[in-house]
Amino acid sequence: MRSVTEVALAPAEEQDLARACTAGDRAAQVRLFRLEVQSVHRLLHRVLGASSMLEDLIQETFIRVFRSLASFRGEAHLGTWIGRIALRVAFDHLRQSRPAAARLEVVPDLASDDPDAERQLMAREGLRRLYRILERLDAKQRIAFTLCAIDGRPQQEVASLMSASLVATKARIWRARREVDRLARLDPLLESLVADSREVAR
Amino acid sequence: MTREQPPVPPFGEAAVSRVERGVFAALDREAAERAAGWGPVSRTRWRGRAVAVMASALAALAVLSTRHFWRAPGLPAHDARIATATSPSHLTVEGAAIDVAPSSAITFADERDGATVVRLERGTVTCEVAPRGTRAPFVVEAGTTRVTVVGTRFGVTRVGDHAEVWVTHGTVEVGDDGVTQLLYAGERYVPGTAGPAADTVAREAAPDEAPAAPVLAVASETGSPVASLTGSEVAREKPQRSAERSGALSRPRERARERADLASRGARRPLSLTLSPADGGEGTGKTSESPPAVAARASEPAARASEPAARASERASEPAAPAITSAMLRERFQSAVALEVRDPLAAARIYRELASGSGPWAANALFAEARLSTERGQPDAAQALLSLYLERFPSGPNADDARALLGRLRGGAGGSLR
Repeated sequence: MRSVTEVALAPAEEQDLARACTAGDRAAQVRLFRLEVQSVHRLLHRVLGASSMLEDLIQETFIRVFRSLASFRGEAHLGTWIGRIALRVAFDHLRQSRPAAARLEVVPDLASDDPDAERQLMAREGLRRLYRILERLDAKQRIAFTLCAIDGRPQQEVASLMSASLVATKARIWRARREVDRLARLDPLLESLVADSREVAR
Repeated sequence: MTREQPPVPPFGEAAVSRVERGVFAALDREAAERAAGWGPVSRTRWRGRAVAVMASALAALAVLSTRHFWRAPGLPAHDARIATATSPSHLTVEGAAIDVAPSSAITFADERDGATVVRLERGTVTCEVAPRGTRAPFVVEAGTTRVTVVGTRFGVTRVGDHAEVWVTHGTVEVGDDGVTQLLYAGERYVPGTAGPAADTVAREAAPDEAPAAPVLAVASETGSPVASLTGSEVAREKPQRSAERSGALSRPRERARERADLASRGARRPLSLTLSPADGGEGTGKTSESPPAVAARASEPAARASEPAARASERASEPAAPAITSAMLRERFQSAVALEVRDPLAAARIYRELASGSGPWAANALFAEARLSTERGQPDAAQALLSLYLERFPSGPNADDARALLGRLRGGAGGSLR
């Protein structure tokens, strides 16, 4: 899975693009924005779920990106670097507020090729309830868990994105999973979905 | 937990555009605020700044009596650059609302003489500046053109090393190539490269009962003057003021002397306005041939392309009322000039009506209609009208301009003169 950047740029190109953006070249800034906006959207959507705040948070992410682009040294891919900023924005958002539960109508359909409409409906409702549970988690645990368990990123990549050690990341994911399991047992629908997913995992 | 990855809904183009606008508007605001010294102060830098402020307090006392003390706190202290791509940008600096058009770039220059200086590198900016009062002047620089604002709404478009300037309301002072003059509401300054603007505009002939139509020079892309423009407000000026400007100024020193003289009398002298002496022989002598005949000799495709020209030639066949005087024609022409910005169609109708007659006003009107058609993006109509002009007035006051503009339009570089 490509982590962040939609269209891969060579490191030298990334450096050139970053330099041009830092110099105030609006065309370069627009190019960078267009290159990364979908990745940032996907990342924030995974972490936060469907939220009316997504656009604001994407905007905040890119404002921070352009503010601090001068500090980009090319040690990581530009997309990874931007992803870290997006996660920082998400983290700040989660710390500052308790976002409202995802609205049912904006939660996306799950696997569209699934013929079982009832299962789809349950999965959608389950996802909504899952994000409601996630709101009760510590922000770092939630981010690590969503990136790993929902977005399917390897723990090493999650650690890199969160600028944390692999050990700390594993601990966060483990604690989050334990808490989700505990809370899911209190919700019959979630409990069945979690049980199903365990079956699949085996 | 689940291994199934729920799909993320697409982030649509409309949403992307919304976010993009928000991002770059915020960045532009920040850049402007940084330029003006209003940028946010981080916690880590606050103490340092506080110390610096205290340390400079004594120095500030020393300049209490200078005008710099009274300046608002947001004057550019360092270069900050704002460039737009496909979207315009809006920002507010020093009491001035600045609209940066797409594909434009401005720089907030170091303060100079206490002024807020915006340098236009390329493209167009439109500025709305509150009356300066005790504040330092607001200046827009574009190449050699320097626009000092008194309190107005105006626009500047970079043209090579110079700039076009137009004023919606209020007054600005435009300096170019060492010549500084005032530009009033409805007027437009278009630079020429043949010399100072006032020199480049003394080319259009006027009827024998001068003052004639006020004219501004228009430079081609290569810089050579190719056409003339008239300012809408200029036409409304009193003849007395127009008469003050009627002489074509040949040397900067003379112009400066006249400016000083006018200033001492409290008179205003708009930039680039000139009222050339009449060229009645040129205009009237060549029109002995009936206008319909002239129209018939115009090239067939051009005639087809230009309904206005055909209508003009039709009207030209109608005998003019004997009671019409030159003064009436002049007033009619000036009313068309005044209408150009607000109602270009009405202005074109009046030009057409005047062009259907004979004499110098017909020549002026015919060329003005061609110029207006060019500005309105009607190159075919403009070409037909220019051809007609050259047929009727081959040595007319705007013949050279007409040939140059016609060549430019035929060369595919047609379009708005502005």
